[in-house]
Amino acid sequence: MSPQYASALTDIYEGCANWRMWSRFGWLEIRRRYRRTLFGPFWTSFNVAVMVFSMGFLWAALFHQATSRYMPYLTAGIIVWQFLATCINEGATTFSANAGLLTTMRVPKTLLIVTMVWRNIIVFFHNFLIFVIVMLIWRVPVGWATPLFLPGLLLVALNGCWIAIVLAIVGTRYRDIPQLLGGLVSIMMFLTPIMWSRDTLSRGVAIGYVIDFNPIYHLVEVVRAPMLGEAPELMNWLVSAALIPIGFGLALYLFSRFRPRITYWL
Amino acid sequence: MTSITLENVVVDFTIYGTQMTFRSELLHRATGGFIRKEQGNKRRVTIRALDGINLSLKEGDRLALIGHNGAGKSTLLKVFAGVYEPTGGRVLVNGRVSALFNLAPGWDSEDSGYENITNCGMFFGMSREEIERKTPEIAEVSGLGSYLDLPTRTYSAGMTTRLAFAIATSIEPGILVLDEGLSAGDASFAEMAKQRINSLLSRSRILILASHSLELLQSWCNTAILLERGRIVCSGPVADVIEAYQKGLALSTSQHVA
Repeated sequence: MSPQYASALTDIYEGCANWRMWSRFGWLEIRRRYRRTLFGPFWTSFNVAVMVFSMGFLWAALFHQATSRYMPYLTAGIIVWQFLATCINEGATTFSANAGLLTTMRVPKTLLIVTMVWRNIIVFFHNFLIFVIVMLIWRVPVGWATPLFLPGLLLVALNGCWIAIVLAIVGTRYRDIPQLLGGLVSIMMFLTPIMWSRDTLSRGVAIGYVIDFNPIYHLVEVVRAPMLGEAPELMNWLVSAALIPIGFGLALYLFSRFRPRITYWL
Repeated sequence: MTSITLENVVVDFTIYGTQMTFRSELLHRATGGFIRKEQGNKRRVTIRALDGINLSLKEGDRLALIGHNGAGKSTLLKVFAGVYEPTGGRVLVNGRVSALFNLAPGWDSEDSGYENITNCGMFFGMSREEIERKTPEIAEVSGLGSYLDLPTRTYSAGMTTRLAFAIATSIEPGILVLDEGLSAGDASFAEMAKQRINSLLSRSRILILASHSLELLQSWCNTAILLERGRIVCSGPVADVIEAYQKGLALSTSQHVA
C-alpha cells in the first residue's frame, strides 16, 4: 500500500474512532446554535412542521392525493431529504468552515466530516418528532417493517459521509462548488419524488426510468418506505448499499491524493 | 525515545486567488494542449517557503528558530506540528507533537468555562480521565472560581486569557512547538505563569520555539538554526547563531547605507 493511502486510512480511522469527540461536538454545535432560544433544537422540527402543514394541503390538492396518504408521505420524504441535503451543502464547506482549526493544529480531517454527519443525524431525530405527530393524526400503520428505517438511515448516513468527504475536498479547492451546490440541491429535490409520488407519474410515462436511475430516490425511499410502514423494495436496498463501496472508493482515491494539499488550499 | 527528523523538506505554496478559480481551470481544460501548459506555468504563482531543510532533534533538544519576517520560521513550525505536510521530503516523528499556536482549540464563547476545559482538552489529545483529573488544577490556576459555570462570553478578555493559558499549560507534550512565548495576561499572574511555563517546558522532551525575542530564545533554548529565505544558513549553539544573526543584520544595514 502506498504511503498516501496509508495516511489517508489513518486519518479516516482516527476520525471515526474518536467517537467521544464527534459525539460531543455534534451535540454542542446544535446546542450552541439554539442556545437562549425558547424551543432549542426543536426550532428545526418546528420549521419542518410549518412547511409540511402549510404546503402539504395545497400540494395534496394539486396532485389530487388524499391527505391521509399524502401528508405522511411528504413529511417522511422531507425529513430524509433534509438530512441528505444538509450533508451535501454543509459537506462542501466543512474544511473551509474549520480553516482556523486546520491551519493551527493537526486534526484528523475525517473527524470534522463525522461530526457534521452525526449532528445531522441528531437533527433528523428532532424532525422525526413531527413525523410522529403526523403519524398519530393520519393513523400511519406501524408494523414489522417500521423499525427498518433505522438500518435504512445507517445506509443513508454512510452515503452522506463519502459524499461529504468528496465535496469537502472539491469545495475547498474550488470555492465555486459550494455556491453551485446550493442551487443544484434544491433542483434535485424537485426532480426526486418527494413532493410528488412515483405512482402519480409512472402511468405510461417513460420518466419512471429517470426515477429508477436517480440514486437519491433510492436513498430517500430506503428510509421513507419503512417510516410509512412498508418494506422498501429490494432495489432500494441494493442501490443504497452498492453506492457505499463505490462512493468510498472515490472518496478514498481523492482523499489519499489531495489530503496533504487541503491545508494549503485553505 | 522521542525524536523528530526532517529530511530535505520543501514547502511550496501555490497562491490561489482570482487567477485559479474553477472557471479558469475549466477554460484551461477546454483549451488543452501546450498552450494550457505554457499558460499554466506563467499564471501559477508558487512561493518556496522552505527549501531543503535537514534537521534531526532528539530528547533534550531545545531548538530556537531565528530569522527575519518571512524567512520561513512559522512555516517550519507548522511542518513540525504536522499542520503542513511538506510538498517534498519527509518528516519522521517519534512521539506526540503538541503545538500551541492556538491556545484554545474548540473554544466556544457560548459554552461554560468547564465545558471549554473539556473542549480544548480533547483537541489537545487528552483522554476523558486526564481531563477530569486536571480540571481542579486548571480551575485553580485560572482563579475563576464559580465563574467557570458561566458561559465564557461573560468573561473579560483577561479572564479568558487566563483560562486558556491554564488549559494550554496543563498538557503533557512530547514535542512542544511554540510560536513566540505564551501570553498569560495580567501582571499579577506573572509569577504563577512563569512557574507553569517552566513546568510545561521541563515536561516536554523536545522544544521547538520561534521568536523575535533573542532574550527568550537564549533563556529557553540550547540549540538554534538561522533561517533565510526558507533555507538553514547557520546552525549550532544558541549564542553562536544569535551572533551570526546579529552580524548579518549589521551587514545588511551597512550595505543599505553604502
